[in-house]
Amino acid sequence: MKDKLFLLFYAAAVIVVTSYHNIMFLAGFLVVMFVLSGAQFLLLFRKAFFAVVFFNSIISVSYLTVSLIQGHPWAQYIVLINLRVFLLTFMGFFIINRVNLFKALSFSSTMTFILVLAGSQILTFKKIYDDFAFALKSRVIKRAQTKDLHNYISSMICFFLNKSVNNSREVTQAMRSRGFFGD
Amino acid sequence: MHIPDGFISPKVYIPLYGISAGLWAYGLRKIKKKLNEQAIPFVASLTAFCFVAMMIAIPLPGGTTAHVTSVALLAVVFDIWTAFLSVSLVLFINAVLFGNGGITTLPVNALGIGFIGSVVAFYTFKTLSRWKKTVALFAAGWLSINISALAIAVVLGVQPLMGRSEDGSPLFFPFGLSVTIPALIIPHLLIGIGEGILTVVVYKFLERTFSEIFHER
Amino acid sequence: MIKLQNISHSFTGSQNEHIPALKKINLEIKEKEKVVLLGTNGSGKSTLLKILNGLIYPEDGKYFYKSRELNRAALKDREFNKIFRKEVVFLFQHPDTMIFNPTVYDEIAFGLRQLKVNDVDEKVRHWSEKFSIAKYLNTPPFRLSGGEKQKVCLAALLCLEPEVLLLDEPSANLDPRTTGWLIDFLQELPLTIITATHNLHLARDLGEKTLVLSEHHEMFYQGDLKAFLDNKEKLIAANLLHVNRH
Repeated sequence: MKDKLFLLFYAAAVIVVTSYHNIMFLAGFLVVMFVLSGAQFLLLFRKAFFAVVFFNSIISVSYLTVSLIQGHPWAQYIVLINLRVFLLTFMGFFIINRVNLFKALSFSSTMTFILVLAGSQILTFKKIYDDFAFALKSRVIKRAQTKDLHNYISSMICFFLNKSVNNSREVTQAMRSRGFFGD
Repeated sequence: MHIPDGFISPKVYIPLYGISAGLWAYGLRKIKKKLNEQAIPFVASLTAFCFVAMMIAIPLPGGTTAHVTSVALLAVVFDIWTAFLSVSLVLFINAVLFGNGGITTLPVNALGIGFIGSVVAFYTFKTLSRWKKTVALFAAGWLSINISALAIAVVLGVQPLMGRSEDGSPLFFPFGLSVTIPALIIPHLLIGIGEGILTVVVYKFLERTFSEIFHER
Repeated sequence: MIKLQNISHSFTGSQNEHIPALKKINLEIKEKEKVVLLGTNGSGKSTLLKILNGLIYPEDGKYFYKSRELNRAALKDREFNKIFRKEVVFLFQHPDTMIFNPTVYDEIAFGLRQLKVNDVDEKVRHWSEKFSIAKYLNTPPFRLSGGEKQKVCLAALLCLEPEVLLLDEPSANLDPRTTGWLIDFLQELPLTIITATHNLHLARDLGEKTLVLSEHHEMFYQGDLKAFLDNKEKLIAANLLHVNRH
């Protein structure tokens, strides 16, 4: 129940933060999040900062430039958007660390199931993906040509595609064997 | 395209969530009809596939590389719904399970990249493959990415219309269509080449070495 | 030939936590020595092999290959990189990850073509016959069984005439007969061979010397292989042997 409430709170907070445009309110909200994050403050702050810095810098700098040329006020918008984006990102990281997503989504067995199956395969695939990259590095003596890279990417994608299709068959059979489908 | 949360108005992302949810339910029903009990494991496995495929960077002519979505590939090898659901789930897993953010941009990307992308790829391939398969595959990849980029550019570009503060400054994404469309389309004319190459090269590789996969349709 | 001094390495987990993989590893391997790297799952065997192959750089410590320090800078040196990649080859645990050419022929020829040797064709045929995979030369390697794929990979590596062969669980994909064949084959190879495995039955015939990693990622034992394998207490302590209650 705790996880469901947390996720619900997160969804509501996202809607509020994107609907209410008062800078003082957003700043206050951010301070509350900072306090709640406690010992994790620095870690979350760094993570959120690096997650948004690229996109936000581009938008802020171009908005500033355009406004200066056209003589519009700019401070209000730049403060508002950066504050809100940072708040949402920080809050996202804060909540995700605390919610057991599988518990939060347990009202839908389909959703939980897809997430468990996909999540575990993603972790396996990521490991194999790293090995593919290592194996290429290990085998390339001079420099791989574009043709080799195309072959490499194709065979890697085929491997994963084949593996996915086989896994989906095997998982189905395992589920049947465990009496999942009631036949 | 990783757009952080906060640039899209709730007037846009809430209705788009509604549309996405409808299409997700419909798509899953379609797949269930075809694959019965294998549907859920199938979608989950292809989601994992889509996830690793997005980690791959394709070398482009000129020495740069581009990350791919594999949407066009999934759409032409399987179908629109498999591609759409897999991409949506990757976005969801990335945003929520791995906590990388993007809860408000999820429906924008899911509809733009996943749905529109796979519809464009599927029908481009279907129409052109009667004439020349290689061209059809490349066009499916290249066009799907560019139309997806256009759709996302439109969503971003209408944000200034979603409300202004008292001094007239914007509340969400600040630039209109005249900025977002060229800003997104121009780089994707190039990035799309990566998706096009991937679709051609992998499809041909599959035909040569692993043609059974096409029976999975 | 190979010398590691105080090598430590760790990974960053999903929650940004520190996951140690190797702690203060010291070792020395002489030319043509056959070494078996033992340890339980997750003890750091694969990481150690990847460090030895110059694929990852340890956080701490030094690695000397033929008395040259092997680090990022050394492998940036094109000439040295070329020599190292030709001399030190690595058979990955899953041969699938190594295979990417359209045919078995191209797979074996891949390294040779990069070295621009003159007799590519002759060498490919020689090695494919040696591994009895000549009949597959025009087949996509993707099509073969796990054992055959592994043979293709071994042929592709050995045709470069390397000096060091690193093997990660080489029997994982093989049936008993092929495993037996592989062991005989490796025993006769005049190379430095480092084999990582947790299969004790296999270990006995894979070398003279052993390096044993503990579950805490430290060097637990280093020395004579047979003596270690006959020491039941040590095997149990390294968690390589389980004493049944019956």
